Amino acid sequence: MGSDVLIRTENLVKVFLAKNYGIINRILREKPLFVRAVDDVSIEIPTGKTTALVGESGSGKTTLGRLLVTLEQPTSGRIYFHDIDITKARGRDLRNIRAKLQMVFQDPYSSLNPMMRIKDIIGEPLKNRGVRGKELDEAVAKIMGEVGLDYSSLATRRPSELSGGQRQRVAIARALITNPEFVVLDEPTSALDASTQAQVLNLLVDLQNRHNLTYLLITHNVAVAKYMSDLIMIMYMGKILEIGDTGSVLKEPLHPYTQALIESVPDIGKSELKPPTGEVGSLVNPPKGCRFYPRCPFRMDICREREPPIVEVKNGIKVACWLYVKK
Amino acid sequence: MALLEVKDLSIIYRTPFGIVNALNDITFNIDKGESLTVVGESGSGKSTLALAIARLLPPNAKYVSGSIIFDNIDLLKLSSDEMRKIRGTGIFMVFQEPATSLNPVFKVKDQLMEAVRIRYEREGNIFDENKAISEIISVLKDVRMPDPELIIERYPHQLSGGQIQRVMIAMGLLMRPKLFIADEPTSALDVTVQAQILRLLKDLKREYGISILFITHDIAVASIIADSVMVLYAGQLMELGSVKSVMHEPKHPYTQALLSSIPRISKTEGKLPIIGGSVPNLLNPPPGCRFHPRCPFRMDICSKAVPNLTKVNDIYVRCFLYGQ
Repeated sequence: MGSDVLIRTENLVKVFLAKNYGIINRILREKPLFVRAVDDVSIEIPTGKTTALVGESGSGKTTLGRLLVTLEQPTSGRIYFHDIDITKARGRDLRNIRAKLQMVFQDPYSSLNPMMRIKDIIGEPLKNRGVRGKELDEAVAKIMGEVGLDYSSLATRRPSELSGGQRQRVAIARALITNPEFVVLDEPTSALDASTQAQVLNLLVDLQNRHNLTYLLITHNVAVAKYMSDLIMIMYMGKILEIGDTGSVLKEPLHPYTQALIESVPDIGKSELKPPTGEVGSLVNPPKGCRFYPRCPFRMDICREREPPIVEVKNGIKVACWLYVKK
Repeated sequence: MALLEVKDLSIIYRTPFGIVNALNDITFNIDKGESLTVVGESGSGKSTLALAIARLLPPNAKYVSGSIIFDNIDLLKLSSDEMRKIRGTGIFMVFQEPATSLNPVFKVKDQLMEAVRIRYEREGNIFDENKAISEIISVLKDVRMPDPELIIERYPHQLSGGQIQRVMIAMGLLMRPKLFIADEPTSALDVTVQAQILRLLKDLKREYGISILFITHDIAVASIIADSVMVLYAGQLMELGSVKSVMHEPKHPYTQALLSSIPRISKTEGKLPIIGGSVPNLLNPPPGCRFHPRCPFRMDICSKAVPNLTKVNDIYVRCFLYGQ
C-alpha cells in the first residue's frame, strides 16, 4: 500500500431498492426489485491530485461519490481513508472523519438554504463543531476571501440575491471551511453558464494548490475532466470500465465504451460524431456478462456470459474488457 | 430565396419588477434547406427568439417592433386561427424538456396519428388509418427507433428521454414542416444519446431538405449541426456568419472570449482564460453594448451607443472595433 493513496475502496457495493417494498408487497410475496448502483468497485485515489469520475446518467458516479464521503452506507465492501476503515466509524469518530471529507453539490440553486444568510451557510459546518463568535466570523471572512466573495457586501445577503457562479463559490467555501483533505466535486459547473464555468474551474485549481486538496471530480463532461484531472475513471452501469492517467486514456482509449464516449463529444471544428448504438440498459436487470455488451461493436460470445476482470494493459492503465485479457 | 426573414425584431416582457428587454433588433434569414444555430448563455434571449417565431410567447411578452416573414407571410399580422394552421405543417418546434413534451395520457401511436391526420386535413386528403400507421412505422425507422411496432403502443412515461426526443422528431417529419425549430433538444440527454440525435437531425436535413433553427448553449454542439451560427448575448445579436468563419476567426470579443474559455477535449494544457463578471440582469441592462462591462477591448463609446451590425468579410458583427 503506497503512502500516496488517500482513499482506497475494496469491492464496494451499493444496492438500492428500486421500488418501495412494504408490508403489502410482503404479504403478496412479491419479489423486491434492486438496483446495483455501485457494483464491486475497487479504486485508489492518490493524495493531492484530481481524479475524474466520468459517466452518463445512471452510471452510479454520484452514488460512488456519496459513499466516499460517508453520506451513504455501503451495502458491502470497505472504504479506507489513510488506511483506516471508515465504513465502521460511528459517533464522534465519524464526525471527525467527516470534517476531512467534504462535498460540493451539483446545483447551487437547490443546495443552499434560501432562508439563511451567506455567512451562516458558510459558517454552519464550523458552528456544528463548536466554533462561535468572533472566531467563527473571522474564519468565514477568510474563506470567503479565498473563493473570491466580498465579505462586507455579501455576508448578510441571501442565496437568491447571488448569481449562479457566486452561489457555487458559496458552496465551495462551505465545503472548505472545515479544512478538509478530500473533496468530492459533483458536477460543480454543469449548472453554470459557459462564461462563468472557467472562473469556477480555475478557482478550484488555485484552492487545490494552496491547500493540497485531493479532488474527486464527478462529471459527464469529458472536456472538463480533461482540463481538471490527472487521473480518469470511466464508469458505466455501476462498474468502472477503465482507469488511467487522463492524457493517455483520452488520447488512446482502450475500452470500446470509452472510445464511443470520446467519439460522441462535440468539439469546435469537429463536424461528425460517431456515437455508439442503443442506450444505457436497465439497471434492475443488467446484462449478465459485460454491461456494455449489447452496444459493443467488438462483442464476442464470452462477453455475454462472463463479466470481464479489470486488468492492467499498459503503463498503469486498467481496463475491464475481454479484448485485453490474455488467454 | 429566404424561407424565414426576421427583421429588427424586439421583444419585451412585462414583469412586476419592471420591463425586461429580452430581444433587441434581431435581423437574420434562413434559406431553404439551411441550418442556423443560435448560441447564447442563460438570459441571452435564445428561447424567446424560438418562441417568438412560433408565436408561442407567454401573455406578458410584447412584440415591440420588427417583422417575421415566413414563406412570404408576415406572421405577426396573422390571427391566432391563421397562425395555428402554420404551426405543425409550416413551423414545427421541439422543446428542451423531453419529459413534458408529450401528453402523458395518450399512447405514442395516438399522438403521432393526430399529427398525420392534421397534415392530411390541411392537404385536403382523406385520412386513412392503416396508411397512417405504416407511415408512422416507417418514420420511426427513419429516426433510428428500435422496435417501432412496440414503441407506438407505449405511454410517454415508459420511454427514455432519448426515445421521446426521437418521437418528437418523428412527429415533426410526419407533419412535413418547412422549418424545424429545436430549442436545446439535447441538453437533457447523455452525451452518447446527444450525438445520436445530432447525427439524426443532420441526416434528416440532407434527406428531407428541411430548414433547421437550432438553439443551444453549447457552442461545440453548433459546430456539429450548423451551416451558420448566430451568437446572442443579453438580447443583442453580437455575431452572425458561417460556422467555419465564426468558429475559426471570430470577430466579436464576446465570441472570442467564449470560444477560448470553454474546456475542450482536443486542446491541451495551459490555464483557461476567463471572462470576468457575469451575465447582466436584463431588468437593468448596461447601456450601449451590453457586453462592454466584461469586454477587454472596451472604449468610451461602447457604454454610450449601441454599435450597428457591420459586415466584416462574411461575418456580421456588432462591435465598435470594426468601425461604423
